[in-house]
Amino acid sequence: MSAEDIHALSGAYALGALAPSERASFEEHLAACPACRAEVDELTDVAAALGAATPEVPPPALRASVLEAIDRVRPLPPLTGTGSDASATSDAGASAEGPSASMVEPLRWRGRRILAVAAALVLLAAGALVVTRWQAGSTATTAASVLDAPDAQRFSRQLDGFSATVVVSADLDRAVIVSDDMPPAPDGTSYQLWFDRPGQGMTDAGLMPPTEGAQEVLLTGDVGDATAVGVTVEPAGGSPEPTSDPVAVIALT
Amino acid sequence: MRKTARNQIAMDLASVPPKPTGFGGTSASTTEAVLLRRAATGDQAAFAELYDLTAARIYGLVRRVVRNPAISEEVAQDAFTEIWRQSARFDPDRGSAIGWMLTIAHRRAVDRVRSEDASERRDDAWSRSVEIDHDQTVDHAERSMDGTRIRRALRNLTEVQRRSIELAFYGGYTHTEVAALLDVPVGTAKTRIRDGLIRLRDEMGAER
Repeated sequence: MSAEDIHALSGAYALGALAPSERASFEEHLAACPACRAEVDELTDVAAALGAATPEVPPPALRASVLEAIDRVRPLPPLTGTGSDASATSDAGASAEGPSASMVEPLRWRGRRILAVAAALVLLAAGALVVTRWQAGSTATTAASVLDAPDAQRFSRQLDGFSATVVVSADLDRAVIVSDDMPPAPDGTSYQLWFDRPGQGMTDAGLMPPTEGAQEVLLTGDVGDATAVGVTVEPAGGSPEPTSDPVAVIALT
Repeated sequence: MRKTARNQIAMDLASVPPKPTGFGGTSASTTEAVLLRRAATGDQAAFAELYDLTAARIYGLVRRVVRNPAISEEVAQDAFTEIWRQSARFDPDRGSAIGWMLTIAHRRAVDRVRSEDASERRDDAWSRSVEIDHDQTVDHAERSMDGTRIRRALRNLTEVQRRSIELAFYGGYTHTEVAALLDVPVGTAKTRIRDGLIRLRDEMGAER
């Protein structure tokens, strides 16, 4: 794509009308093109005005469900600008931080960096799993009921000689992660599970118990439209959002 | 997992602080900024107040993009939750609170419609592309000045500019899809979107 072509994407970018791959390359371009940054800032203002132009009274129930939902979510800390990620924007002026910041965060999940916790690389060596199990006595979904579900599907991921397996039952809408010989998480940390959901990003799916050896852990929450399961090393007790690159990502496709 | 087109392991955190906006520097938007700041400290009462001030615009935009009321409600709830979560990331020096909030809501709405079954949307594509009915769903009492201005400005665009912008923003289509919908070359849609936005910017700036 010629330079002129890429400049012309500013409008579509401001409207959120780029495909993901185009957006990534345009954001690379933005980092190096002050003229485009200035233009994107202005056109984003116009987009916001378009966004405010179609008010509609929401259903009354929305208010209660919003307030109930936020009660379960911890607000993120402010960006302090001390991380290495902030360097790209340090000379760009305040108005350029928006688009620049948007370049940074998705990269965290692309595994570009060597994983932060080397010990965690030794991971989830999943054994072949043949389960013969008692039927769950209660109506609650258990790991066993997912593993035994007639529609159970398995998704495995090889990682440097190791593998992890996620078993999903669409009928039960639940998932189980299976691992053998999993090393313990480093002291003071836990393995935390995440669903990657379109439009929502990584949503908490619970902690793996700090036991060694074979594990079958039922992920917290419905599978829904999740496209992948991720595992990160988090401070003991878990985090509201991932704080490190995933040590494993298992696509559910 | 079963139907989404985004089957690459995108791991999109969807938590990117969007670019805020400069439109709407009214006392109401100042209030919104203050409430957002308080929400960042975990103040749920402040957030409830913020909800009351902004819900019609947030929900209205989501509804416009998503259309289905039940799904819109879900997406709007999700957007507000994300606004709450990201509230500390809002920087009042960079623009209005409502602009920042709307950007989050728009991203959520677009992500949702793009993950829908493609054929389902295509059936609906032309009906939504032909003419946007501005008044159908608007509660008149809640119309903002910005809304009136931007609608007037939209009417002054060329047909291709206006439709390209409406399909891209309210329709949630990529510029490539917009080109296909309007049966124009990709480069044309891209350029018309940009030209049109620049013209809107100039018209709205001139009216301020």
